[in-house]
Amino acid sequence: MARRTSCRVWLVAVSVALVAVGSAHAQRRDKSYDKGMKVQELDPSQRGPVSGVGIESQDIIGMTDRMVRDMLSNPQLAGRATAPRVIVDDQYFTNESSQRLNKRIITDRLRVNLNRASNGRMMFVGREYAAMIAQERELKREGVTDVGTTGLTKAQAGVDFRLTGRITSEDSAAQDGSGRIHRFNQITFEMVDLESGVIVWSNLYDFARVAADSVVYR
Amino acid sequence: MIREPVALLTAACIALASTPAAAAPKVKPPTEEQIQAYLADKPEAARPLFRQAMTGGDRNQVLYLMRAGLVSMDAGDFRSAAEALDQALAKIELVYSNNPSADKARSKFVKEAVKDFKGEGYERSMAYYYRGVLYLHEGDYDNARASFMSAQLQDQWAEDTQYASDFALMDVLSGWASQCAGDPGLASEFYSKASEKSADISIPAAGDRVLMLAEVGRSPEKWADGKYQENLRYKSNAGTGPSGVTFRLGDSDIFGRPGESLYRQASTRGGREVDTILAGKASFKNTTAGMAQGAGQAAMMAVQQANTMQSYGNYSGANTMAYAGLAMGAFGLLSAAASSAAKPQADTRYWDNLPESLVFATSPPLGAFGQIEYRSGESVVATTLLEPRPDPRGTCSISWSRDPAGYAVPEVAPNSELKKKS
Repeated sequence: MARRTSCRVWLVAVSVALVAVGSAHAQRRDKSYDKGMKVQELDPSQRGPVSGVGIESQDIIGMTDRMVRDMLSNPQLAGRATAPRVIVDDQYFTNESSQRLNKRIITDRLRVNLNRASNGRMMFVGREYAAMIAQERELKREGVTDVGTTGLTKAQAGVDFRLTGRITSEDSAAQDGSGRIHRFNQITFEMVDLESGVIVWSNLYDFARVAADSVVYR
Repeated sequence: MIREPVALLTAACIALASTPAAAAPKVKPPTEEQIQAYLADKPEAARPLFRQAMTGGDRNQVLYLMRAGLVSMDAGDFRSAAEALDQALAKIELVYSNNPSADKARSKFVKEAVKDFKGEGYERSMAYYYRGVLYLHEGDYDNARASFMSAQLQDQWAEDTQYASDFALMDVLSGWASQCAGDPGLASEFYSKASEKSADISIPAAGDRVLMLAEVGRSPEKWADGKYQENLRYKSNAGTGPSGVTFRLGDSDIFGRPGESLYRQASTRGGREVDTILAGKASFKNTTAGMAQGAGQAAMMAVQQANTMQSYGNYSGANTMAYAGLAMGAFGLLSAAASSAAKPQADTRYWDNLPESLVFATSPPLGAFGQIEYRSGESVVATTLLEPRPDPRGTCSISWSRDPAGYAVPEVAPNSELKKKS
């Protein structure tokens, strides 16, 4: 009888161990996002939870802030007796990198922040709106509308400087089995005198990142 | 006395075997109203695939988005196609480090196919390729070039380095995007790279402004061999489609030049790093199966010995042998359970509406309309309209078309359903 009892105890222990071993592997999954995720506010100047090796929000904010400060400290741009007229858009800002990107997120941010911070030391011309402006000018001159309150000008505003730039990247992959990818990103900004072609201001922003996908994707 | 413990152990093991390998995620499904709102502006043919992408969870989402994107392109709905491919590429570009599904797929007891699908190199390259083609239609040459460059980067890991980044067509297309963007210097650099990788690849002339892309045949298929289907293999579907393409534009007949065979891209990559993990899983499964068999035989012998001792009245010896048999049996069952639970099978999900081959040609502007002839030998087996679409700036034109026989796609992607018992 005593032997039978001890045998049952032993069997129960073995059974429990078997079940525990068998099911342990199934319990490791991170289920924290299984029910979805509530909308969260994130600081765009900080690296987010979803990221890669390319240009991200914190880079855009960091680089545009730095360029704005640098341009405003340049006397040829922001220290003139008469505020120069400037175009800041994506027309001559090219993306030669391997990252798909809406360039306007950079140039729009630059223009808006420069416009706000320059406080009249630079004037910004919206050349991308030229067709819209031409249409309104025509309506005023044909008498379809009155002249508004700011008066007429002889022509649309001519421009002194225009922003140009280039996004480039250099990608490499480690061939040591680690699956690491490395990307060097460089974004250059230049302000070109539209009469002489002289580059009156330049700066660049660069960074490199390395990452490796899980081995199951390699 | 001996039968009762064995029955208990057997019951425990049956209970163990019936334990699901992984608890199903409890994702709150979207309502039918939400699904219909999502599908409303999608092309009819692609709706079942968009539905799967929306409701099927993360595991196959990229696969269904890729398939839906291509079906949308077939239907001429480039906006839906771009939306689907952008979503797929966002996940492909995401670095999966410490990702739960990826970590799980490394476990001996979970199939590789549990991981979120991102495709093999050639599939990821093709997702970028199609996105690049859509950008060319929009005249967004910067992002088209970025897409083709990324397509080439997806091909950078190959066991034999001579096949690394050898998707020469992607360099040609990066050069084409640069040419259309008005940067002949950069175009020339890409064309040189393409020629280095494939001496036979056709390079556009400086005055060419029309790009014609055609696709023929059916996608290479993935399958698995090995004792436990742990080795990923590719099956070629070469010869299933037309053997040549002629672009008739204006008064000219322009023969399509070979761009790439996707089977070649898939099969020259060599072994994957994850194959080492699968080989380890297979070895574990094999070893534990052998241990289970050995322990089972030892347990049987011990039980027979215990019976013999009992018949001779040696009850003490019989009990000792019975315990020994029980221990060996338990060990055998544990090993058998571990062997049964090991899942070394390779992931054979694949993007099935890809073509087998890419064909292309470039020319100066020759006319607004024409015809694409798909030939098998000298016979024309299918024709489609050739209508190069100019970009918004009128710099370059592009025509993208596929052999109509390649359009058909089943609702469920091949090998995409996880079978619990295998």
